[in-house]
Amino acid sequence: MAEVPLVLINVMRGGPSTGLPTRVSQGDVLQAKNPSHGDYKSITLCAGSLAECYTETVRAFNLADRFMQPVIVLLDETIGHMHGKAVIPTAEVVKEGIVPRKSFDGPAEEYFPYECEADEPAVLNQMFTGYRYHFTGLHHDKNGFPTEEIETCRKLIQRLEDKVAVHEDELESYEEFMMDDADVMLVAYGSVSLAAKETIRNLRAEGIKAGLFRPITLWPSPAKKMKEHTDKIKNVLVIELNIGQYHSEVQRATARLDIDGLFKVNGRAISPQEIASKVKELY
Amino acid sequence: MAFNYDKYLRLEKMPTLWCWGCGDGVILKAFVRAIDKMGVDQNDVCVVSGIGCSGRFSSYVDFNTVHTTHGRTVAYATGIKLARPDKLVICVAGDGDALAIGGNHTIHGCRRNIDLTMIIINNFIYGLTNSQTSPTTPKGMWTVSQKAGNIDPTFDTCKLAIAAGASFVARETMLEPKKLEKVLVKAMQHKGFSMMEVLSNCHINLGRKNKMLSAMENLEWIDSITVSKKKYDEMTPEEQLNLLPTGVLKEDTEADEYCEMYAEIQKVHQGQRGKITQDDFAKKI
Repeated sequence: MAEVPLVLINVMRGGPSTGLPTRVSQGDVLQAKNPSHGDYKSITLCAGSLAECYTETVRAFNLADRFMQPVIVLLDETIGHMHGKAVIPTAEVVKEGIVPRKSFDGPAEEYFPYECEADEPAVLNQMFTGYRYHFTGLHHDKNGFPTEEIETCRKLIQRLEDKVAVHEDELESYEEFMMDDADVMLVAYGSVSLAAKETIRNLRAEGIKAGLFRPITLWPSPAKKMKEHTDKIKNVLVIELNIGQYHSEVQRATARLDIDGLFKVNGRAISPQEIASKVKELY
Repeated sequence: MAFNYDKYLRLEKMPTLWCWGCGDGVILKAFVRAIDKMGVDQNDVCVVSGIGCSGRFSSYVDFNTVHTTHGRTVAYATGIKLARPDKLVICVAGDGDALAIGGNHTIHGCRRNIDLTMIIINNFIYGLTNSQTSPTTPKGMWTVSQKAGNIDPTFDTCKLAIAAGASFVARETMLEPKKLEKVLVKAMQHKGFSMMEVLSNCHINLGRKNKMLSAMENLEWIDSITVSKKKYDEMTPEEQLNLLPTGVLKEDTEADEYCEMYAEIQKVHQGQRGKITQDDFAKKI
């Protein structure tokens, strides 16, 4: 509500409650979509490799500054405990990508931190720089002071939604793996996408043309791109370590109820063999 | 000439939301005079408040102000202070805010001895939400959540802070604003965690349930349960029962301050010194 940038890293393990600690899960995907009571549009990134754990965290910091709100990086226990080689960008490249947070440098009496365009985040100057304003978790006016004025409250919530919704194109991120000629489309993210890629290589050796669509920005979802594919490909299988949390989003985005699912919720990773046999059973 | 408060107040926010006769206004004025006495620039002060009647404190004073979530003033203030150790950061919280939901933050703030001043306005009740039992509600008093009378033992804020490691601990009441102002200056000038408990009235929500319908009756009760530290120390344990000492109860200027230690950690990471070891501390356990 105060529009403070924040990066949250959630390495998912089995829930609910204390659940299956130290075991893998992707059970927090819908929680990441609506992490708070009340309305605001969440930004959630999901790393699918060791290198991406680094690059997506960097992107999360940049997006948090751009949109002035929490950004969640979802990992899972398998990725979290993985060892391996990873190629990551140099510090110089990372620094080049940093976009400075907006600030106001006019006279203090003309500074209104929460008076901004209907689809833009607040401009919050650094504390102790002579611009004395008020942060609050309450609904607030352009100065940041609490208010219950009907129109101000409505506009504020609408802006929190629109500052992300209108700029979804800045957030969209996905990977297409062997999708060009695919007859079977697998949808997977996080550590599951690694098993899916191996499956696809094996299936193709057997003559089954499978491909992977991997959303990297989970929320807002790459809905348009998913629909583009599912309009052409009949067989679509969503693979997740939960009971179908992103499956429902794929159904919504593609306006298709015949999207298949392979779900595993026993705290163990999914194997390429399991995915392959499901594909052969269904298609 | 009478003191002019206007410079430090957000006049457009007046009148306050506080009830008639509430002690919060007296404490706010004492706080403003204390800041003025210290001669600190308004731009260099940050007031962090929580939830409840005391939560509104921050929106009435013209400093950098943060109105946070319930009980979390110390958590937010710790972040602000670590980022800018040269600035004056003050937490304002109520008894329910600081000792119930935020109890853990409070004791760990004390333990770290970070250079914050925490003003706990203790009115012995959750006032804003209409009279629920707080951790300082005296046993036997009536609240809307304990209609047969409160059976929960009370926290002694100052004893708690002393035990947890705060290096400056004081208790005052809003009955003596001049004295409060003086002790507040001491608390804010002290380097380390300063716990400043201020006893205040809530005749509206504590009083109406407990035969103290006016502010005066509520204040007379506060007067009857407080005694100066000097007198308190001369009493026998039997005489001390049901009394709270006022004044500066602890002042330790030797204890390590957290921001200074944190600066050493930064030096380690910047390669300017070796790692911190037990030899760096006089008091290790």
